[in-house]
Amino acid sequence: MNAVYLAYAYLRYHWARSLVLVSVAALILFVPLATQILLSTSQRALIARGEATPLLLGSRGSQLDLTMAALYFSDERPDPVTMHEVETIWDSGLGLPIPLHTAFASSGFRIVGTTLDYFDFRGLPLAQGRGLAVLGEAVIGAEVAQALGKGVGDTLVSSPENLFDLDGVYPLEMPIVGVLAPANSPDDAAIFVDIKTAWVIQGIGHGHEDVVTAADIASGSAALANAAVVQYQRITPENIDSFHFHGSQDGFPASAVIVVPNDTRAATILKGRYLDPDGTSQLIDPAEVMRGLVDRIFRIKTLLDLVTAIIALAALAAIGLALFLSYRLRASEIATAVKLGARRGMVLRLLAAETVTLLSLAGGIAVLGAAVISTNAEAWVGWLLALGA
Amino acid sequence: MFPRLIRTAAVAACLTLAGVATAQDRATVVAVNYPLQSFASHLLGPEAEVVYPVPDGVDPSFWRPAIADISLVQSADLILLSGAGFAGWVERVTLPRARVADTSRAYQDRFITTQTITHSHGAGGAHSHEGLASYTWLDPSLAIAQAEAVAAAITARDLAPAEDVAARLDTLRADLQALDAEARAALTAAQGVPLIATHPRYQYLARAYGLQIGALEWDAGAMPTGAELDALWKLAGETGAKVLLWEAEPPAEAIEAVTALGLHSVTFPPLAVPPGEAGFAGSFRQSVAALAAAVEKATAD
Amino acid sequence: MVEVENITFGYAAGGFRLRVPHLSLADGERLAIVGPSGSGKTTLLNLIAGILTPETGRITVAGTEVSALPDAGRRRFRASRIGFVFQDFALLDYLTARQNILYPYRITPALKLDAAARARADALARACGIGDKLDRHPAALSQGEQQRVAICRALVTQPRLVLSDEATGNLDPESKARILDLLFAQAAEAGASVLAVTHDHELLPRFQRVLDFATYREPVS
Repeated sequence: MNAVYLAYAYLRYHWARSLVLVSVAALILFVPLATQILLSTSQRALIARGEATPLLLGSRGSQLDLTMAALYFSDERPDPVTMHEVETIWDSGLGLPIPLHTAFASSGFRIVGTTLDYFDFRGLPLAQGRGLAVLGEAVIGAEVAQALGKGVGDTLVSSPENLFDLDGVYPLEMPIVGVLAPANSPDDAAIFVDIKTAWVIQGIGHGHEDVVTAADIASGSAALANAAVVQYQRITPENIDSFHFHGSQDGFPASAVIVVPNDTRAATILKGRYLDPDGTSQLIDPAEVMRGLVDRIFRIKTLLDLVTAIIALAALAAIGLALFLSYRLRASEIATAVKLGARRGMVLRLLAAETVTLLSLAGGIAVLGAAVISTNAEAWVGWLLALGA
Repeated sequence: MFPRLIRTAAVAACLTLAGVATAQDRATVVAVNYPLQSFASHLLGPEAEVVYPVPDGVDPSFWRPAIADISLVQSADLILLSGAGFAGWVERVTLPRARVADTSRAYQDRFITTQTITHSHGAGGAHSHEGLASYTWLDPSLAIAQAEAVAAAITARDLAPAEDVAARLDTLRADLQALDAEARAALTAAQGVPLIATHPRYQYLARAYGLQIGALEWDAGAMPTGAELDALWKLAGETGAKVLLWEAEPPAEAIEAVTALGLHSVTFPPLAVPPGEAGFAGSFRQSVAALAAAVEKATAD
Repeated sequence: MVEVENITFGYAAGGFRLRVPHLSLADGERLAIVGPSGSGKTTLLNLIAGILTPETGRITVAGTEVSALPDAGRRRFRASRIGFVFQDFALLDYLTARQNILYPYRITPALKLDAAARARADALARACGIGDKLDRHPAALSQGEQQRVAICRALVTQPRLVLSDEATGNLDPESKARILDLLFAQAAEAGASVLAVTHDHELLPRFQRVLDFATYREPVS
């Protein structure tokens, strides 16, 4: 106890030195801990999204592109599959197909056309407003709301896919009717619309007298369609009844289809149906794709571990030196203690107490920091991963 | 101490059970038209509440649901669509695909194509739409197929015990088969007899029983205008039709005006909206009988 | 109190050898040791304190033969029977005056830090005129005050013998006499003998006896 008492008095009196030593030691302990936590969390987050998505149906091609587009709403644009594939899954009775149409964007965020089932499937509660109800409406993720400063009552305009689009397909202005609660997933950075709305953006569905020009809005009068002004269509209560789709929905496109099989048996049967290498579509297990990707990425982690180890070694040596110097500085105290009849080992005890106190303080701080990281890891990793997408 | 603990546990258990019981509210099924509501109610019995969301006096084909109506539909455990282009609003509303059943999907190949609408907009040039006749249930054999689809959707979502649903489907199917046989017998005489309808609603009825039904575009239950009566006169002259099918009971003076043109009036509700007490089969039976009687009268003229 | 009989001592490094045929100190006696640097004055103090052990001969302090004790025993003996005052005060900068006075209790289990010890520390400090400065660190004390703290530390354990190694060496001439008088007064109060190494010849009259290592004769005081 006396040794700890004296060590504490010493550390307190030399608080600046103690602070530096504790901070450095805490950092040395904290940095690898934090890195490990963040890395394993991101690893888990990456795989978790894959594992939360049982099967993915898409056009035959890069499995990674398909996974990235369907799970992370990345810029990859896999060849579309037709809604006929969705109906086929549906008719098989083996699982629930959830189509995703991710070909368009607005203000840098991907427009995800899907069905209401997606929200149930991912468990996305609303923070504000209501869910999608009418053609043309949009529900935005928390990050979109924050980044664009938009909420219920505001509108978004889909980015024109091609400035020289001569097919008469204009961007669509969509009212925001709901904002989702943060989910720490790519869903935070998505603009959700009914897949039918996505088809309207694509020009498959349209209304009549539906082109509104910026000039119209400015003057309140109709103007001739003019390529020089930004033109977009808007779905209003007046024109909604004129919106219609051409042809059978079976032929309409989806970027990918999330398939939620009823059970493992159904999953096996479904997978078997898409094995034909000559088929136009593939049914993949996104968890596997993500695991493959993660394995590759996390080989870098080995290097990172090595760097951490080297730095930790160097820093530990520095701390050791600092402690050694401090022991040297206390040689006179040691001499005094001996003359005053300090028991054998007292001096050693004193120094040990000091070192142990320092290191436990540092360890405590590091663990505390790690705990903070650990509690917020999912949010921060979600944010980090979203940065990439 | 111990008995008290047991008592507390028992009370807690009861509360939990009560909670479970309240949580197990009856399932809700939304049907976009009366035939589906009728079939679903029959098949579900007391297991679920079947809602026909369209207000009285509104044609379900042209209903535009308000946001509150959409919420109700979205929250249903099962949404029964009629397909064949019936109820255009379902195309413009976001629905949970997992809980939507398109009850006519099995007989898409039996849809009747009507007119072709051509129009143009934007720079895309003219394009055309195919129209589909929507009132498929007026052919009882298609109604049976639709009832089967409803039963399958109910069973798939486990809204009622499968064996109960199967038993009720057997009854329903027998009813509709009987109805079909009766109608076939009653309308044999009407085959080849030209008929006119105030609205094009009876394509499937006509095909099922070999009827020839020309159609006008009158407002249901309203007094026809002079121009409309002229058109009827013209069409009757062209086809030789002597029987006019009204989709809703018209005003007495309308019947008089039509009678003056030498036509017998028959009210034949196409059953998209609830027909009142008579029910699906009852109303259909009444209409078929009235049609057969009118045809008999017309041929006797 | 102290009996030194025929001791010899040499450092391993060699060069210097100390021989003391006889030295005795009575209870409560104050003895000064003078002599040139390197004549073995401090070595003698260390031998008496049991920090060093003589090669031959015997040292007895307060009835205990220190030279015959094992290392742990000598430490215990030193902690409980000897008070030390140093030229450089040897206070610990990180402890307050009070903590410095009580330092011996912190470093050896032979001494129990109880309420009596704390009361003694406060009483000594008051007697030494630093009662109001007990919560200060040495850096905030004058040299005279620091040495007073050191005297309190030497006496708080109620030693039988106080060894003073140039205790006044670093003080200004005015303070020297006062500090020495204080040491004597407190030692007398505690019934302890004082054996002091000093270079200050003007202070010698205050001692009862003076031992000159240069001549190794005992001049009459």
